[in-house]
Amino acid sequence: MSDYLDEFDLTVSTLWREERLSCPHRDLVQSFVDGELPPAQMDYLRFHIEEVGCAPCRELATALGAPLAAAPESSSAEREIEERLLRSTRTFLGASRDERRR
Amino acid sequence: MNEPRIEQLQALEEDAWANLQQLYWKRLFHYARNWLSDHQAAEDVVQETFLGAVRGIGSFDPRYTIEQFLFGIAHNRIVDYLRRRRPATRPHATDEDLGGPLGMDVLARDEQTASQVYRRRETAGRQREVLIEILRTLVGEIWESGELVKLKVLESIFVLGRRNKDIWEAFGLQDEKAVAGIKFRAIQRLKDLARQRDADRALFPGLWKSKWDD
Repeated sequence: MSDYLDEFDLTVSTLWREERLSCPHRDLVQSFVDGELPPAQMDYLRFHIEEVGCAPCRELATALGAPLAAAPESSSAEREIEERLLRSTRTFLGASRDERRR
Repeated sequence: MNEPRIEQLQALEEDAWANLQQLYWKRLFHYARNWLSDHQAAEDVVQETFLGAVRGIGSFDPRYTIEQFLFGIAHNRIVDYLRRRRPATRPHATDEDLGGPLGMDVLARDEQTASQVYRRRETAGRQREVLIEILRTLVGEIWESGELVKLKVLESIFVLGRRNKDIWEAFGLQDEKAVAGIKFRAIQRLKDLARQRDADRALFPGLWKSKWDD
């Protein structure tokens, strides 16, 4: 695969997430929660909400009464990454504020 | 947790940035991780994304959401990383130029004048609109066909960043080639749709020179 295609895939990926290209309509999510969709659509919505973990659709499904498992809590490794990121951003914010004052 | 206001972020309020980071870092990390095999590189991308966001927040374009702003920076950082793996021939994007994820051709740029920058942004905006439009058409066509396994495959590739070898068995397909075939046909369809909207090939010039145009 060429580098160009890598970049294209990445662009599609970004747009797909941002524009929620495959998020089903609210009525379909309601039908999914009620178990009233044909099997292929039930299977797709389960995949989209539970496996892909689409946050907005998951939130909607939960609000509509779906008994979904809670999102997993952060692991210690994740907490370490979060702390490193926070330290780095704080340091940079401090430097940026100093820069503005000058 | 509510998203902080732009004014708070532009004032460089520490709590607002901590709040923003808490809301987005995991999604950004998983997004980067999908494209970069190196765990540390993904963390670096997220770190650079937030630093880039601090640098660029002063010129935040209100036509975009903060999510688009962050993922736009992450997108460019990932592209930078991928490019660093081959000989550098083109300059990197700057955060000040970012308004959100950009089209493909705008990623390679070395123009300097204001009119060129304006034209570039205009083209990027149009590229983005057309790509969204043709992707929506593709997704709609798959829904109408009822072949939702195809949508699962494409979502696995483009959203979860999974490889063909990790997909075929889970979806009951014959082999990896079946996955590659679904992606190939989807790209061919996108190419056809792009052709209809870019007859003079001015909008996506790079597209026509690539392997996409087989």
